[in-house]
Amino acid sequence: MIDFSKFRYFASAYERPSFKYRCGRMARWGKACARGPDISGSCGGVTECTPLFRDGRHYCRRPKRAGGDCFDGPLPDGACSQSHPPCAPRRTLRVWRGRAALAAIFIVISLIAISMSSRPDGVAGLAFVDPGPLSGHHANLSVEGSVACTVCHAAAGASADTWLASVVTHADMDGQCTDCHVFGGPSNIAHNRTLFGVTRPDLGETTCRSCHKEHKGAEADISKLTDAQCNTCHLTRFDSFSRNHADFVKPFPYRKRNNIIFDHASHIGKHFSDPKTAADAPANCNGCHLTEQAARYVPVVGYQEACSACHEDQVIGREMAVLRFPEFDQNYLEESEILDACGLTPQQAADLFERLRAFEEGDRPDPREPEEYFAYSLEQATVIGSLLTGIDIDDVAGQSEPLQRLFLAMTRSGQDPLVELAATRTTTAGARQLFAGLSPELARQTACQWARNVEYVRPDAERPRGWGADEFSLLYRAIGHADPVMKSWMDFAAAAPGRITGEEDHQRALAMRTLFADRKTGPGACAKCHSLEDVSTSDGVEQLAFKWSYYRDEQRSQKFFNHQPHLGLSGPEIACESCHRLNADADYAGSFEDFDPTLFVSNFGSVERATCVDCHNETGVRQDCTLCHRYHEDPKFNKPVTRYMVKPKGEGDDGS
Amino acid sequence: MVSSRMRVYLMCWLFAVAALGIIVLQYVRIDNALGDTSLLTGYALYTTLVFLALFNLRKRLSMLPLGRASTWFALHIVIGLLSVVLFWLHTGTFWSLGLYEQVLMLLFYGACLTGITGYAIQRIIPARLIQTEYEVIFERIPGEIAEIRAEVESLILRCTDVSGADTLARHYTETADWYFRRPRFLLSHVFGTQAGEHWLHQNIGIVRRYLRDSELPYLDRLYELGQRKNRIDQHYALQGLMKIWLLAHLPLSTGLITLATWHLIIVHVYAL
Repeated sequence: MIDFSKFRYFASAYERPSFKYRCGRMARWGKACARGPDISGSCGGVTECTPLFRDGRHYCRRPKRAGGDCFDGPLPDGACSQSHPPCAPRRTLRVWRGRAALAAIFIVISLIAISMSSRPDGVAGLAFVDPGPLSGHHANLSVEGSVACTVCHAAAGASADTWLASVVTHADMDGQCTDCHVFGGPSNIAHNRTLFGVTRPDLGETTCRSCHKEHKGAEADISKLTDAQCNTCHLTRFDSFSRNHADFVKPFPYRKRNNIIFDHASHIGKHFSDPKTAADAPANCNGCHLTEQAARYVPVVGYQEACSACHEDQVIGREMAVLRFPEFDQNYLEESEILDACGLTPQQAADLFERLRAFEEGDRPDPREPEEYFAYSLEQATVIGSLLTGIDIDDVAGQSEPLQRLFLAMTRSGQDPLVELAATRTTTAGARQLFAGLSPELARQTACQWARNVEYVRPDAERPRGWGADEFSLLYRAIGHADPVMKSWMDFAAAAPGRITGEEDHQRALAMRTLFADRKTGPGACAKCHSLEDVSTSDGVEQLAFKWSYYRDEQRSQKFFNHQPHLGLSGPEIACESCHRLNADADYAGSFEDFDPTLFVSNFGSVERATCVDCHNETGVRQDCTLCHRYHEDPKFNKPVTRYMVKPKGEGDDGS
Repeated sequence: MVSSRMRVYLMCWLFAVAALGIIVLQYVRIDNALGDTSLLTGYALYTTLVFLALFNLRKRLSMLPLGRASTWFALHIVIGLLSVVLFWLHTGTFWSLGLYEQVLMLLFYGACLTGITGYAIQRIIPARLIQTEYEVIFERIPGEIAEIRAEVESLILRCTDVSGADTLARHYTETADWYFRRPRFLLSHVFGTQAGEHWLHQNIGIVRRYLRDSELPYLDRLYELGQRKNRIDQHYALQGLMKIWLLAHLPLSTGLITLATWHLIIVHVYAL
């Protein structure tokens, strides 16, 4: 119950808790004086009133709540007669709250100022700027031994005025990112790629920090992407992979053929069960595929382990006829020119000796009549020789003089005339590579014989591998698989039609390419397994090339499948067939007749989404988008990134 | 029937939920579009912090027509809770890794906890004060205690005069004087126990058997004054609690606003 009589106007003071001071007596649990402290904090209750002077007299003005007019009244000098010792007014709670608030602001600003002061090591001074540890390799970046804030934040190393100006200016963070990171397309376009060469401005630009949020700790996943984020841009949206993800476009994932032509159906269905080759056949997929190294691809063992047992004879058995002694219509060379370059044959020397002896005995035979020319060879010039010399292999009259002149040149300079001719069709270095290992003596001897219009007699019964010759041909036989000379001839033949102009020469180049690309008869049997593919550039020049490496990694960088964890599910021996089911009816070999690698018929049936959904579903293992799809196109590092790497202790800047 | 106070809170909650809904929807849209959500949540959070700080300013500018203080208080409570959601939306974690962000989080959590504690105090204590069946203005409590003490001392003197015995006077000077000097048993009053009442019962009642009959009425009056003083002590403890929590909330809040402003500057300098 409250005593309201205390609040009557003459009994109650007006409480002012917002004042800065309160009566010191009250603070000591006494009764507050009626006047209270001054605004300056000094005691106002030394006297109980300030008497009023009016009409020549002083009147008491003590308020009623303090007892009203006092009995003694004012002193003669006008001072109050009721005086007390002064108290020590205390600050109110409100003042202390205000002071605490100001102290908090002061402490925070002080901490910021202290932390921003420069330190020799440049590390501790960043405490109130650094929002947290960096992730992974970013934490190891360093500039001159200090924390490399400037690698990503241009303002970090700026002067004070520039630093302040940075508050209102744009910080090009992406520019800092792409100083080290590069992609297969623009960094600020979704997936770093354009759709068929056309950008989608309606999608807007992306920034690196949209997804990669740093300073979340060393273990933080700063490249996480959610399915919802994918669905935002992609027009075909789905709830989950198992529920309504689009079926794989057939034939998945065999949209582009391999570099190596390997018909699984014929090998497994026919050759591996053939009694003649069964001994060398692998027992299962592991025989050729290195499942223990499986990742995105399952690598295969090399040619020597997998193919040579059956195919080595073909590689070294198919010779390449570079130059041939063909049928000539007449002799265009002077005998003296041949004698000068090649000397006498034993037969010519014996004949000369007989004639000289007869001359000494006084026998004067009649001058020899010029012999009528008979073509010793009825062979046809080679396709390669036709391209090099520019002759038509069917035109006997037209090819006679150029080839005879070539033979004469070879009698003098060995293989050099051939290299010079080839250099007109390709580079000088390329031309030298084409005839690498060709003995000048072999070239000279064959040319001498052919210039004399006789066959070349090989000294050995069996022609060795590498360069050699038979009666009418200069030949090359591959030393083995991956023979560099044979490869350079293959590359030369593939590129020649695109490089050589002129109607007739172009036709000759096409004929040479057809010769080398023949899978059944081509030299070295290279084309049997190595596909010839259209690698035309965007400038419209047709260009073909033999594919030598096994892997094809182009345009697949944004899809990812790791074979390794899948192999262990049902054991490596049958795991492959769970997804890769052989299709014996597919025209696999036929799809290599064309040079377009996308027109491909695989040996295997398309991998079905349902196969994956068996495990990748709501109740099973992961099925989010980024499990199989990668956001960035061909992510790489710029070379300069190494300048920011932390150097081991003791290693100088000069790399010592 | 909905009271006006409830109506105000209802409106505030509707406003807060709507605002939060818009922010969350925008957050999801930006996040899905690979945009930077921290800008949205950061500025929204900073705005709420500034608005919460304006409540203190509103109390100082009572002369301006800035709306009713009760409405401001309701908005302060509701938007304060909204800021917690925005804070977690912005940081994405309960505890950051960087030192200054940790200090920032510590200040935010401190301000939130003291604020929630203060709100609980403001809701619970008034009901307990009513239960005392006594009303007193906080600033007048020292005066009230002084009045009671003066009355008690006067009572003891009269008792001595009338009865001629000094038993009660000696008991007062040796024991009861301690009690009437200043508020006692504050923690007991805060936690709602009856330590003060027990003390009175034991220390005032115990002397009854030693008093003469003429002294007994004075003892009864002393006991009444002691009980009145006990209720005033209760008011002092509870009303003091209603005021003193701000001594923690206010510095934490100002520190938070200061460091949040620094955070804003840092973000603009290094990342925007």
